[in-house]
Order: sequence, then C-alpha cells, then structure tokens
Amino acid sequence: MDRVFDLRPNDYVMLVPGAFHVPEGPDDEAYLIGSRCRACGATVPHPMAVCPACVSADTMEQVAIGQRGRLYSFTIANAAPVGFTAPYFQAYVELPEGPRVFALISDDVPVEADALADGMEMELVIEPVRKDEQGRPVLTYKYRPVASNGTGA
Amino acid sequence: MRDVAIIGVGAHPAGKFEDKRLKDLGREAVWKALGDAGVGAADVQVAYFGNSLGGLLTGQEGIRGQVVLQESGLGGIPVVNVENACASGATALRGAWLEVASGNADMALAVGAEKMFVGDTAKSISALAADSEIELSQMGMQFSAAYAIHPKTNLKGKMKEYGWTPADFAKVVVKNSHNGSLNPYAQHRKPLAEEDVLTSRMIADPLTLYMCSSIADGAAAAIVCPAEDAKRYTDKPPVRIGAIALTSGQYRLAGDTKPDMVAMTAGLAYEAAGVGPEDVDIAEVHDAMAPAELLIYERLGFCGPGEGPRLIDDGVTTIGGRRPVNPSGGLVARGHPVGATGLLQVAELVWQLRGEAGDRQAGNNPKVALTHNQGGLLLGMDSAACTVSILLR
Repeated sequence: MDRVFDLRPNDYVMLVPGAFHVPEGPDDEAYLIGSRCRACGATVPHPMAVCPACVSADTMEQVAIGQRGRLYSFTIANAAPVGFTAPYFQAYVELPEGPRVFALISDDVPVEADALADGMEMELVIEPVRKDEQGRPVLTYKYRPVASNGTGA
Repeated sequence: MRDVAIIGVGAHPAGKFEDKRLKDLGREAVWKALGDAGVGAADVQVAYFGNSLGGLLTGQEGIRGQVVLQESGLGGIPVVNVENACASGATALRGAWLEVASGNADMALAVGAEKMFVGDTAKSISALAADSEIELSQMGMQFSAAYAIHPKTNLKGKMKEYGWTPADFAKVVVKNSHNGSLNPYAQHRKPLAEEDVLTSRMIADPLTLYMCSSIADGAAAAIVCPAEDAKRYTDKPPVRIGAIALTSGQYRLAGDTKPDMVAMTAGLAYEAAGVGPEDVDIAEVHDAMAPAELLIYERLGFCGPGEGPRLIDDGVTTIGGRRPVNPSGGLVARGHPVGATGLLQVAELVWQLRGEAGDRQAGNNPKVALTHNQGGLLLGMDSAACTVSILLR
C-alpha cells in the first residue's frame, strides 16, 4: 500500500472512527486520541466526556497519547470474527500515560509466539486491516516492537 | 420485600438444533417450567425475557420476548425484554423476583433463550464480539483471546504469577466434562481426559478448543411466587431466592485498587442473603473459558489467591465433594447459549437443591446454592454486567 500519509482522508476509512490520528504528512505522527481530566489528571486511552475518576462533566480534554508503550500481554487468536483473518495477534499495551489499551500487532511482525515478549517496548503504527467494499483501505492503529524497524522513526 | 420462591423450572437442552427457532426453544422451556410449577400460562402475571444475540443472529432485533411468549400462549401481561450480554438470564430472573418481592405481582416468569447456530460460525463469533463495547469489537477483539490476555483475567499472566500450568487448566475441563456427561441437558456429553484437552486445537494460547465454551442453542425458564404461597402450587421443596446481586462495570483507571467486580458482586449477595462463602454448598459459575473457574473460586471467596487448582485436586468441587461447582458441566460442557445461561444455572441448582439431579446429584445434601453469571466487556476494563445469586432450601 501507499505510505499512510500519502492517503487523503477520502481515500481510506477508519476501523474505529475517532480513536486515532492518521498522519497527514511525512512530519506528522500517529497517535491515539485519549482524554485527560484537567481537574484530577485521570487519563483514558479513548475519547470520553465525563471523567471516570472525579465525575466532572466539563473537564475532559483530548490528548495525543499512546505513541509508545510496553507490551503488557499478547496471544495469537486462531479464530476470528468477520473482517479479520486468523491467526492474528491480540495484545494489551501499557502506555506511559497509565492506561492499558487493547491493540493489534503490526503486519511487520510474523505471527509466531516467539516474535513478541511481555515487557517489550512498542511503538504505534497505522496500518490497513482490510479493504472495504469500495476498495478503500480500512486503517487501524497497531503496535510493533521498537526494534523491529531499526530506527524507531 | 416479600420472601420469594422458585416453584418451577424448565429447560431446553443446550446444543445444535438446526430445525428450531428462538421461539421454539423458548416455548419448550416455558411450558416445562409451567408444568414443573403446576400452574397454567394464564396464572403468570408478568414475564421477563433474556436474550442477547437474537437481533444480529436471527434478525429479530426488537420485541423478542413478546414473540417468544406469544408463541408460548402468554399475552396481555407486561413483557419486559432484558439484554445484558451473557448475564441476560440472571438479570431476567432479577426482574421477576423484584416483581413478586415488591408485591407488584403474585406470579412472575423469567425466560432466557438463545439461538446461536445460524449456519455461519464467523457470524456467531462476530455477534458474540458485539457484546463488547463497540470500539473493542471493531478492533477485532476475540473473546477467548480476551480471557487469555485481558488485565482482569489474564490467564496467560496467571501462569507466571501463580505457577498455574496447562494441566491445571485442563483439570477444570476434565471435571466439568465428566459432569456434563451425566447431564441430559448438556451440549457436550463426552467425558474428556487431560490429554484430550491439552492436545485439542489451540484457540488462543493458553486456551485450547476444549477449554472454551462453544456456540449453542438453548433456553431455560423459572417461575416465582411469594414463598408463603408456594405450597398452594407444588409439593416439591420450594427454593427461596436469598439474593440476586447485579452490578455494572466500573471504569478501572491505571493503578485501580477497587475490589474485583466478581468479588464485589458476591459480597453484596452474601450480605443480602445473610450467608458467607463458607456456607455455600454448591455453585454454578460462569466458566465461559474453563480455566476462569479457578479465578472465580478465589473471587467468590472459596479459596485464597492462586489456590484454585488445589480445590479440584482435593476433590472439593467435584460432584461428590464438599462444595460441587458446575455440576451441570458448566458453560464448557452443559453449554453456553448466551442469554439462556443464567437461567440454565438456576434450573440446575433448583434440581440439585430438590435432589432431582439424577446421576449428577451432589452428594452433600446441598441447602445453600450460588450462581455467578457475567457478561459483556467495557472499554473501562470491567465486564458490563455481573450477577451473583443465592438460592436456599
């Protein structure tokens, strides 16, 4: 596929709309769209309107998070729902901002149990999981070990 | 609040019934429960209907309860549709219980039914995934894998933390498949040996095929009335509802130290019923993936952290043990027709408390029974719904 940042917003669809930012140019970076409470600092890895800690309704602001994290847990699923092809990795990544987030793993990583290890430093990437009926790539966030592309760039 | 008794239960076996519709499954359970209670359809004053996947799998998105109950000969009464993922069945019973406890009705029906075999396994798996918050199902989260890696269960991590082994996980299946082999309502009636379990296909490491509950059709129903009226309808020992605790998930932030959801719900049920974990003689628990039963033991207070495998090794939780768990075979052997499961658990325990469970009858003359029925997954990490019920003879 083209580099993600070469895609115009009409050229792709998002697997989970509003969950992540797709880079718009070579200097732009992918991130998850999280929320942080101005009042108490609670941080969640997705958009949220009411703070789950202090239950304030007007203190949550969107933040860019999740560019790096540590692999908390992973397994290979050998059964898949519609739109996914088994075997594929399922994982939780622990973010430095605190939360643990469910994630898929980059296609760069061979689907083998010893390709990953708990605690590995991971970085966020945006990749397609499939094409929609109109042939547009369906993009999502995934993680891959920082070492796997050599530069971390 | 009035004391409430379950005076009748009925079930349609769990399994694959290609020629039966949701309403056929539900009708059979309802009529068996009516017959068991010795009452007629016209005696029922209100009905709660639990189902989770009927919209996606059968296309009957709305009014499922009215459709099934009309087919069963019940109409004109309040019918309340209940959807609480895998906990829909117990949630339906809670509604019926409160109708009678409050004095609003003198006879109430709870039904749970699910039709999961629709000729397309991937579709059924997707429908199950849709019991998670949509951002998780859109991402392709698969339920077996979630049990393996989700921070709240993390069975793979528990192997490191507790030293649990695949053989420990397999022994839960060996126990439950033995129980299922004795249960005419069970979907899987072949007793499995440890080796069968460990060599079956890997679904999501460390969970093999036989450790996972499977797709099932099935239904169950219960009829409740004021405990003081029970003798008017039936000579069978009435089973009183001591408590039905229902909780929803709380958002678990990083570093959360609040009590686990199952432990918290069990605590509420124990307190309301005036019993403790040490008083529980028999239990049906939500082993959607069999190894989770080991975690559920500790969260219900049956043992300390990590001690679950010992309860099986020592025979405590076998049918002949001091505290049988999942005498029906549980979700992995009896079957897990999602919206029916909670009421299948209740039916099993009513039979056990009455001494009517046949070959799988517990040997400890049970008087205090517990069900744990849980479902759905939220972005905030907890399950969506958790119930713990206490039934008393």
